[in-house]
Amino acid sequence: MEDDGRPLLGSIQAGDYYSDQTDSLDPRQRRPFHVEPKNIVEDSAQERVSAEASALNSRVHYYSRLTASSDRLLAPPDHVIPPPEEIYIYSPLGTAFKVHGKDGASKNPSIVTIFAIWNTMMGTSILSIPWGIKQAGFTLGIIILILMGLLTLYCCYRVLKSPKSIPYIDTSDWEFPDVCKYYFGAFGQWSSLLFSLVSLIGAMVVYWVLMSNFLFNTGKFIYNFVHNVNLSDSEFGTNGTDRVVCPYPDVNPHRYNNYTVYLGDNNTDTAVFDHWWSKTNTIPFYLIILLLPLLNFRSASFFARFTFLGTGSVIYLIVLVTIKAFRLGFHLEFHWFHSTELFVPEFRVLFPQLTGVLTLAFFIHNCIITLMKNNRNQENNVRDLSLAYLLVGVTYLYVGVLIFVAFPSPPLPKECLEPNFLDNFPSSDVWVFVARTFLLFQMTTVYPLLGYLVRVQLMGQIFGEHYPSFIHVFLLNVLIVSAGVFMARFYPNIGSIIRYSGATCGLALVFVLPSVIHMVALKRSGDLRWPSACFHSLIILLGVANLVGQFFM
Amino acid sequence: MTHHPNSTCSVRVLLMGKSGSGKTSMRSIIFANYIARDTRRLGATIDVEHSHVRFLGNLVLNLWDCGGQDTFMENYFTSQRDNIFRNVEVLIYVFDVESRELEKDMHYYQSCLEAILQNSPDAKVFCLVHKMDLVQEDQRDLIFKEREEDLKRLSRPLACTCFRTSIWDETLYKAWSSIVYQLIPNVQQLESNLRNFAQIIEADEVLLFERATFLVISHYQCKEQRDAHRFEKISNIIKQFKLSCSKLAASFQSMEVRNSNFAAFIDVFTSNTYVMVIMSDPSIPSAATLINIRNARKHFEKLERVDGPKHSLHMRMR
Repeated sequence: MEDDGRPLLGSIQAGDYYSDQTDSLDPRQRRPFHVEPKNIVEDSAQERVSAEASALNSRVHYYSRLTASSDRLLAPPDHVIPPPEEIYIYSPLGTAFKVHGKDGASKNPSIVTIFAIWNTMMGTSILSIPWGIKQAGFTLGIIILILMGLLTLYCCYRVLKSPKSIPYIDTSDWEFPDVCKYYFGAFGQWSSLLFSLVSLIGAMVVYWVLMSNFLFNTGKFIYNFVHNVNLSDSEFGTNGTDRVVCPYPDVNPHRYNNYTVYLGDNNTDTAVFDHWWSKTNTIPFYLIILLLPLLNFRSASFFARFTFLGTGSVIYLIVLVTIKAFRLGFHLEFHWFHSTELFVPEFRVLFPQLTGVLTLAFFIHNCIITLMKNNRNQENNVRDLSLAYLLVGVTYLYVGVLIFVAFPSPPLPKECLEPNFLDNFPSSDVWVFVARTFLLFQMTTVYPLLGYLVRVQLMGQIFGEHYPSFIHVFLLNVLIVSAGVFMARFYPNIGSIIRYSGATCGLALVFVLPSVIHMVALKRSGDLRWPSACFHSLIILLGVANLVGQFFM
Repeated sequence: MTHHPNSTCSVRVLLMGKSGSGKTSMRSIIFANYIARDTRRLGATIDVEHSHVRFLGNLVLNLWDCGGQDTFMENYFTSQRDNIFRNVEVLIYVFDVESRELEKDMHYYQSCLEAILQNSPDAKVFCLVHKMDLVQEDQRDLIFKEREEDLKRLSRPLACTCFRTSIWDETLYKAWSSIVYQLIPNVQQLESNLRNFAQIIEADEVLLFERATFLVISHYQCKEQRDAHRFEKISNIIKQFKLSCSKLAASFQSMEVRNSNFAAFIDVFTSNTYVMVIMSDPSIPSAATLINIRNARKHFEKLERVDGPKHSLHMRMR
């Protein structure tokens, strides 16, 4: 039996094994590093855990010590865990916080939400804004950009509010297609799906064209750099260090031939290279080898990690545009209704092309509900959405206006502005080369994400699961890729692709569906007034006119 | 027929049941044994070699899978029957409430009872209806009552005590606490002396734990306490601490926890027990309480020794 003379508790003063762990032997200064806040004795009104939950927590804690961490033998089964309303998060300081909200996901402050919306909306349409402003005329273009921003903002606000006006049903995890299904049944669901797919596949086709373009230029830059080929005479453009070129100087801008000019260097090596490295003939096919495998991945979470590249590329473009504008200077003359040799009128009939591009540029209506769901202060949603649109509009305006204004008009006509404004810079320009490489890399990571979204929406609707079998998914991917290759081969005008797909999907998801749903909701609750009905019908008409205008202008 | 404890053969507590009924997990939880991966069932548990868990002095816990597997086990079991069932103090039989072969379970249970009657007729029998968390809450009482009736009926002439248990609520702890309570010699005397002790030293609460399992055998409290689950929680905490200590090849001896509102002392008490004293008057110095505990210990040890040598635990609480 124990020695009675020995003190009952291992004496603090005598214990040598304590001394190297603490500085002071005063028991009051040694605090435990981990506090289980089960019953901290305070009478302040803190949230307390229910007794059963607290006991279960103690059990789970203990049982987890009894087995290896990978062993599931003593892991609590689902039916034993308390329901979400009773789950508390312990803070090591003794309070217990209840988890509010069903998903328990952390809520974001406003600034993060605004940034997420800006980041999602900023797409490749930024490259087409200068061309769009040129097509509409400088003044009219700016006016249209502001007006379209406001209009799409209002429609986005309508989309955001649409689940809230559904009575009696819990719509907290609904997205816009679910709302359409509620109001219009299967027709609503399928039509919203179809138009959403139009926007996604349109974006993917644009991506293919752009990636071919960027890959072509990158390869050309490297080839020219290695072989010291100087192409300064072969393209029509300005002289000097900051060259701006006009790739298709005297050709009808609606017909795009493969216009390669061999001047000076009639080297057969260059000819062979140009034959095998051609923007429309061969590179779209080379891309298949790179991208088709990526599309077949089961999960896109790997690619989602690269979203920061998109932000980086937009910021780089802004910097690039600023530098170019600074270097090239301003070239602006106002000719109101007549075009001159070098300048375009301020008001042009071709303005529907700009509205089409802007519909896709300001498009976020299919995922705005999800993006706003994690906003910490839900009452600020409208304000944050408006700020995000303002930010996006300012970015587009900045890039569009600066490129348009800085385009060197004494030698080159403004009409030369390409739908992808990077095409107006030669492949030997280092700044632009970096931009193209950056964008190429970024697009390679976004392309599988878009493919994944198409697959999820289409397969989910038709087959009920996201990955029915490899054959299904592979066929879908082959179809999408073929569309991209076809366009890149025969009609690589991204301005047209963007405006047609933008106007089409915008018709349903931006203009028609939100307005109709709002009017139906008001009618059902008996609040539909004439001004509101007229206003929303006008929006629908504008959407239709937008689409029709694409075909006639 | 009383059994005379052989000096070479220890007194046993048998934990039996069909394989997969949860005995190994139960033992691990009650006795704070680490379950290593490889001892998870790849076949039946042949546990004789691992039965070094001792509690209540020199009771040894033996785990046996009973019935349901291959003929090798059946033969081994049958041939070793007399060895297994000799010198058994307690039989704890575990039934899986979800089992689909009730007839077979009862059959095996009955053959164990026969063996007990032959070899250790004075043994106490406990039946645990386990994994009750898998039954819907509103049906648990009903199902348990049914089983209890069947088991009591089948166990005659032996008397069996039934408990419903689950490792996910307090029932397991309570069942084993009751079992251990019935195995402590002189437990009621211990309890009354404990009350006196607590009142003398002006403690808020005094708990008596069984040494190996930290199951609360008896307690005294002078006022209502808020948390009904505190015994199990304290037990879990100390067992976790014991696990940590054993990793350093140290053994847990005693503990003092103190803040401005209370002081708690955990220390060895008698050969079978630990004591936990809770004082809510912080002005009483630790040394005073510790001296009190030490003096009380001598007294309690005498109580335990009064009824003869430790090994022969005769059945007093029948």
